[in-house]
Amino acid sequence: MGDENQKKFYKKVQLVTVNELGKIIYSDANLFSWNVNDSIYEAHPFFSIIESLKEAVSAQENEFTFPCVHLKEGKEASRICDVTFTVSYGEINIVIFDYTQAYLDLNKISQERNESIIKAQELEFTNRLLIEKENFKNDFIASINHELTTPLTSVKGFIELLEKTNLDYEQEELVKIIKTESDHLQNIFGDMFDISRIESGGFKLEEETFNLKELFSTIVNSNKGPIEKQALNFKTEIDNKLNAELIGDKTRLYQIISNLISNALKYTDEGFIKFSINRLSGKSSKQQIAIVVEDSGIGISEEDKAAIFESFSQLNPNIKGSGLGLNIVRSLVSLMEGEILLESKVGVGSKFTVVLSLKNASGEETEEVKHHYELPKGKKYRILVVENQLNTQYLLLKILLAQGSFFVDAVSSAEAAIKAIENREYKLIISDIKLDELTGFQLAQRIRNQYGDVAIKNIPILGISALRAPNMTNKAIAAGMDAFLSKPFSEKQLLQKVNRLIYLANHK
Amino acid sequence: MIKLSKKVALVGSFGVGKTSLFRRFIDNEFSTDYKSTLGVQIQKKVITMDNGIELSMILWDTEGHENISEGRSSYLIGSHAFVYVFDITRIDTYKEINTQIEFLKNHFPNAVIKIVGNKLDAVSKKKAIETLKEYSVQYDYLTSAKTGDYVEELFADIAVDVTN
Ligand SMILES: Nc1nc2c(ncn2[C@@H]2O[C@H](COP(=O)(O)OP(=O)(O)OP(=O)(O)O)[C@@H](O)[C@H]2O)c(=O)[nH]1
Ligand SMILES: [Mg+2]
Repeated sequence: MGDENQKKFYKKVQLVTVNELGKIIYSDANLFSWNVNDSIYEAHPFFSIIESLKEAVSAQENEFTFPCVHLKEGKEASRICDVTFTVSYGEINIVIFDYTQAYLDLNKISQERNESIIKAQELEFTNRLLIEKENFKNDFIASINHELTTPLTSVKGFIELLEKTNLDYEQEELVKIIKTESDHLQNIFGDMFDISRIESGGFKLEEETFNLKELFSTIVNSNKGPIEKQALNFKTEIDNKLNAELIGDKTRLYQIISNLISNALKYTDEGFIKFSINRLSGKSSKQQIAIVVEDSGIGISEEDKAAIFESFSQLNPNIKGSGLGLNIVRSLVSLMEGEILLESKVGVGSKFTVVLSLKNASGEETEEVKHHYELPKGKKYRILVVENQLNTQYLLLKILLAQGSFFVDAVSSAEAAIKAIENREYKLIISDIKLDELTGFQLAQRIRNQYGDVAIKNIPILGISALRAPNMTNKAIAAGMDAFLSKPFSEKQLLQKVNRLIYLANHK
Repeated sequence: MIKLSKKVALVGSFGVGKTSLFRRFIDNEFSTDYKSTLGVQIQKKVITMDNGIELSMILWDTEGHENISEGRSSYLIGSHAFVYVFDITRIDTYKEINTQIEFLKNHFPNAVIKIVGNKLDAVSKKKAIETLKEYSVQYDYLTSAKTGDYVEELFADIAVDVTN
């Protein structure tokens, strides 16, 4: 080793000797300028470790090395050193190696490695929180929806009953307002629930055969009134080239179009609303259609176009609506693998075009025959109502008794229902799904499986529920029920189902 | 006046906030930048306790390791207390915490051990408690070096325990 090199090397090493009290008795001051006679404990808090080393020393071990220690003197930058203590009787020799540069180089590697692991681990946790939040939100919405729907069912039912009493003009007007408002409320709940289900992925489209022309007429008929009432011209048009028998989710298609029309209605004060369905192209298996809803309303500015499909966006806060309708439209269209286009000009109007590719239904008709089931006059049928919500129970009783063709018994649990059917013959059971002990599904399963007596075993069962879980109808059928009606329902809907079930049972 | 000197070592996985707690306690400072600690840095903080004892806490801020036995064992020598720090927002820093604590208890049966979940500010307290319960983590403190929450309390508690 040449002289120069030797010097360099020594500059990196310091030798210090202290006595058992920690007083420095030798120091070469190569790295730190600690003075003889000073206390090593004052030099740096690190050296207080010497106290522990004196205790730890043994015949086998008297040398202790501390790698990579940051040592600092006054205002100078830290040196990163390896420090070795040799503890012998009466004195301690300390060798300090300065490896600052080598350690700093090493640090870059561990810094990068640590950072990337930390990032990944934090992300994992964030995802976990997001999932939990999302689940909570969806569960919350689903359960709150149930809590809200049940009383709303009663409210709507009683409004219908109230309408039939002797009302003076003013009262009649007030009842109308209550009715509109509760319909509106019901729509908001429905929208809320749909969005949470779509967002959580718990939403499935049905595949059923339907007739597009019929759907078109239904929509035209139900929107005609409200549109013409606002003195707007309702133009409608359906392409003759369309093959009307299609497979898809009719209910959701109806919802898409209704939402677009009611959106148009909200923003159009004069002029027209135009609803048309066109055939764009078609193969033997599939057909591409365009559903167009156009209006001469206030229009949508360029900036607002992007926001219009977002949840809760409402361009005009004075306009009634949940603001959720277009969000649902966009989500449903994308679930159907379709596209939605918006053309609009402020002050001129807007045009929404939904392009969908729908499967053609194969030749044989599966269309349900529209039938009006009328029960023979003068005959009375006994119905058992199983419902633990007293308001709903009362409502069902009032509607059914008002027909004059039913005897009605009401119980509030599945257990009581079982007792009742064993003692009396019923032509129909209307059962809530969410009962206290046994559910309506379990009740249906028992009736179907545990009785040899066909008068019990085959009683038609109509399930009703405010639970807005997916596929309730399928679940009800799977449990052995014959039909399902979701709350809130209208008097008409209820009576249609009741009459049909009793009629079919009597005409087997 | 009684003067005492006690060594307190901060240990735990990397990036959990050992250096941040150390700096918050000593200088009442915090930085959002992460500079992984290399080896060990040592500083002293003198505190006067209610019972009149003047305690020199010699704080050893060690570099983090997922597994304590992977770290440099000499850093642990002579510790009167260990602060085992984990990061509430990273499950990997506490899902096997019991093994780590057992290691310390076996090798340092007389040392005080405080288990500390840090970065409390980054998550709701409710969520933190639920998650830690799910992983059966027995902690002594939930702190935030960022806001300073429970940092004083932690070290004051250690001071009492190491002087008893
Ligand atoms: N939000 C938040 N961030 C924190 C807190 N404590 C530390 N951090 C951040 O977490 C990162 C790591 O903090 P450090 O204190 O360097 O962690 P360490 O345990 O010393 O890491 P190593 O030295 O590598 O073992 C830094 O970016 C800090 O700013 C805290 O209480 N809250
Ligand atoms: Mg650190």
